[in-house]
Amino acid sequence: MSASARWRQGAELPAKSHTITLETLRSYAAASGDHNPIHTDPAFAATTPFERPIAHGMLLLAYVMEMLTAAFGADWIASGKLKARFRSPAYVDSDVKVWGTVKRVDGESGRIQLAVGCRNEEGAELVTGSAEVTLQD
Amino acid sequence: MPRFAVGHRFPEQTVHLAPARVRQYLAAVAEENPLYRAGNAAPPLAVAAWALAGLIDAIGLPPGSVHASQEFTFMAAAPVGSSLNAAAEVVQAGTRGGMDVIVVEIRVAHAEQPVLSGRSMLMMPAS
Repeated sequence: MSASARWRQGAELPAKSHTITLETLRSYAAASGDHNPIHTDPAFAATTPFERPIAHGMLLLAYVMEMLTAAFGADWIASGKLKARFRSPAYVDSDVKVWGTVKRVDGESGRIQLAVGCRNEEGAELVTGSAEVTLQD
Repeated sequence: MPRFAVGHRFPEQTVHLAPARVRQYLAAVAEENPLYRAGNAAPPLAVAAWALAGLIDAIGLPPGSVHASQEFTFMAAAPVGSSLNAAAEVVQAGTRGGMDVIVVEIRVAHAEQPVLSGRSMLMMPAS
């Protein structure tokens, strides 16, 4: 059985939730080098339209990447394509749920296309996008 | 007029994948995949994040800027401990709703072999 044969259109990748805390954002800022205070400084964030700290978009993408790497392993690192639009902010002290759904499987090429994203507790889409990976047998 | 024109190239950066830096990133994003924990591969999005952080410093994003969208194509795993070259160029520029909008293409390579490429759409208060 080829690697792509394990996947079917409509299959859902295991979803995972993450809690966004101020500590999460400060740790990510230190690790990534993105020190924009809108992510880490409640007093500064209060002066912005968001009124409180929001997650780095790249942190949300890191959660999407975690899901895709868990599903597709080294093939994802070597051939993955990810497109994402940041639709709404993920606020501090909220939960985000990462999701992925297989949209198309090409058994000949081994290519798998997916819809991916992140939602908040209310079900609002924070990040939406698509991913594509080619699996090696 | 947008602050950057199509074709503008930002100074090339060197991205160092120091083991301690990679471990710090993995902890910050709660990534526990054995590919990264036990292997020698650096997480591609860490590479991208560090390249983007350098780019954002070079742009000097003003308050009120928005990271609107992001695309990545991953081509190879970069080994922990290596140093990568990152180049960035403005490929679209314009204004929308009172904001300057630029799309920057990033290319990251290890020993002249491509590791990843990406496109970032950034929206800034009009200059």
